[in-house]
Amino acid sequence: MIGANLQLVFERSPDAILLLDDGVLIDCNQAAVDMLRAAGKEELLSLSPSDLSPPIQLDGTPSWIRAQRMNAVAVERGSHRFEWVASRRDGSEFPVEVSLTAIPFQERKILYVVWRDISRRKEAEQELWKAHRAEDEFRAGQGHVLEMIAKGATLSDVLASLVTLIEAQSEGMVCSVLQLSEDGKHIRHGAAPNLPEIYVQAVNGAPIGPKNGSCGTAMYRGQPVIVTDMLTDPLWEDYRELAKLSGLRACWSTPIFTGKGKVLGSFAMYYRQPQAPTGSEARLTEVATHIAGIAIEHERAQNELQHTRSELAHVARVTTMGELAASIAHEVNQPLGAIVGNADICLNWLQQDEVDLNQVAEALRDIAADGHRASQIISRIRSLVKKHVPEKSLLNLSDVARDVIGLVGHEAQRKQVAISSQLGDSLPAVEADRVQLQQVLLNLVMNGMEAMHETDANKRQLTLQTVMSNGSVLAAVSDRGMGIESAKAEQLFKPFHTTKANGMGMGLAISRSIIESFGGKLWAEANAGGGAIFTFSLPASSQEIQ
Amino acid sequence: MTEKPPVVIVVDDDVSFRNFLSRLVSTIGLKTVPFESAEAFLAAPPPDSAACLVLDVQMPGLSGLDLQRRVAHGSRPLPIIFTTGHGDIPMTVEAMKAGAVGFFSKPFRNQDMIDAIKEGIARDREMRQQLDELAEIQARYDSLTSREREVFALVTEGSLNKQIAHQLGTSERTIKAHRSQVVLKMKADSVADLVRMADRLKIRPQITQKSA
Repeated sequence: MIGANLQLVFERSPDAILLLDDGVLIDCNQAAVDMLRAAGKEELLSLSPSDLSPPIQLDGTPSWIRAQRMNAVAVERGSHRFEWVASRRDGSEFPVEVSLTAIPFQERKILYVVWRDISRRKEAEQELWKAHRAEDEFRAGQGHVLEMIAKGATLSDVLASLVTLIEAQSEGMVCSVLQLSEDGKHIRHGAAPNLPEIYVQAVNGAPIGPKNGSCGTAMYRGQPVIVTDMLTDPLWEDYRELAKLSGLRACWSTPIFTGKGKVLGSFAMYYRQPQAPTGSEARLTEVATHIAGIAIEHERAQNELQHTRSELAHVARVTTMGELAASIAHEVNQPLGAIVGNADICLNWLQQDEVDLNQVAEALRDIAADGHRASQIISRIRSLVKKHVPEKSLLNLSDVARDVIGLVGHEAQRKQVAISSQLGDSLPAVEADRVQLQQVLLNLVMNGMEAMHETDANKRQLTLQTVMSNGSVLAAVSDRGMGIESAKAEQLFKPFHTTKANGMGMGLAISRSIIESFGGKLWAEANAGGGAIFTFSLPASSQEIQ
Repeated sequence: MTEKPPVVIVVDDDVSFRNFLSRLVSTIGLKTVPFESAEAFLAAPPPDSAACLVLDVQMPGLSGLDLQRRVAHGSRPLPIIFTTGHGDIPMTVEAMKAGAVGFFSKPFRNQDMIDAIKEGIARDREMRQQLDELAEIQARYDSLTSREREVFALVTEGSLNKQIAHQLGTSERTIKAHRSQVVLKMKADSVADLVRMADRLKIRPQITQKSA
């Protein structure tokens, strides 16, 4: 009874069972025949065990060597369980879990072998691993885009990277990010590296509205707009031809919001076939709109900051010019005095009976020369007073120092300050905005002169130096004024810190922010023998001034 | 004796302005002597003709106002006309108090400058004349004996011969003789003329009065 039942268990087992006697197959069940796709039990039993496996296992060892080791373990422990690669009769390979049981029987080595096909399990493991890896990569990709934002990459680069990252998550998907213009009425291009150029151009500048494609409508409504077929959806009525031309069929657009819920733009997914989004796409959209929102908001904040900074710098420049007003008036009146006087003399000469034209010509030449001089003074001042958008260019710091010395020459005279300069020849160029650097130097020079207000007139010495040091170009302004305590030097750079009766206390704070915006540093220290030294450094450029 | 032609001394650090002033001054037939700094002017010999200074207030080194002080206290005071690119009121006041002939902000009217220059030269000429006269009177005075000086002082004070004789303890006749000697040596036309000279010389009768 038990024997018959065992025979039934053996035959009906879903796992393949093989019996080996001293390395020879002596029995097997139907599951083994099926698993190995053998013609029948007879065929299978006529084979050598080595015919049931490929020559090499996954770990690189030949199958027969590994088989011997496993057998030895099974004999020693009674049984052993391990994974194996088996081969079917048609040569195809598949993974199995093997359980070996050594059965001692009249001095013979009977091995009871059970094979369980684990193809499905392995595939599932593989899938899971792939999914994990894809998830890791996707997260790393998001991290990379956020890092780009933090490092100040341009908005178009950031958005293009984001779009590429999202597109990589789904076969056949093309994405775009659009911005809403500042007036809140028009679409502005953001990034769409894989959409047809004609489509991108048509969309850029288009108005938003209740029936303006997926994106225009999504921005207008402030809600996602899912269009599964652009060729039939009424929202695309006005843009149908464009969709056809671009070969796009499905477009799902989701608005991008600020942290406070204001619409900044939209993120869209396109397919070339009509279709509706799935859960995974909804998740991708969530990530994309979140990161795009951060990027656009960051960019706008940066622009605003830049704008405010340059406005503040402008106010500071105008204030400084106000302090220089008396000197500027003097400098302009000097040539004007000569011009008016010479012109008057000419008029008198011309009213005489005999006119010495040579004399008149000479006076007119002087008038012209003085006119040029006056206009140069004015244009020098104008460039500092007018509003301008800071622009980086390659500059020679010694030239900038000379501009400033020219500008304050008369003021120094008025304040009885002797200005001397030690300006390096052939310094490497620095990359900065000329007007803003003039502003910083002007501010330092004016401060230096002011600081010597109570110094004996014959000791009022201000020195401008430019030198190269450790890959940077340095400019230093030293005075013989009241000096500074090293411990309090940093306080000077705080906004609204002032020692002047009429000072705003912004000069040094603004100067420092200007220098830092060009990758440099500005600091103060005591001047040995009295007074202070203000120095700034800017990275030396490898490029040469043209 | 023919007078040497007057000169206009220009001290201004701006070359084009110096050139303009030379041209302007030449239109009234005068010469300029230009200097680019107060120091250069001080190093040069003083003019030996009637002259006036046209000075820029603000110059590197010694300023115009500093130079005005030096000139006023020097051996050859000169009338000064100031020019400035941008003058403020305190500066103008200081300059005018110290005796400036004029103070001009650039640009100015040529005629105003010419008038000021003419006035400056006239002032200098008069001053030089007075100085010459004073020197002459002083020389005459120096030729008097000490007794004649006493008589000179008392006569110009308005004392009568009798009073003087009494005061000096001598006879009226002797005083008369001294007095005619004084008038002769001082080349005076009248007692009034003598009084004027005494004023110029700042002569006061010495207190050598004898007690009665």
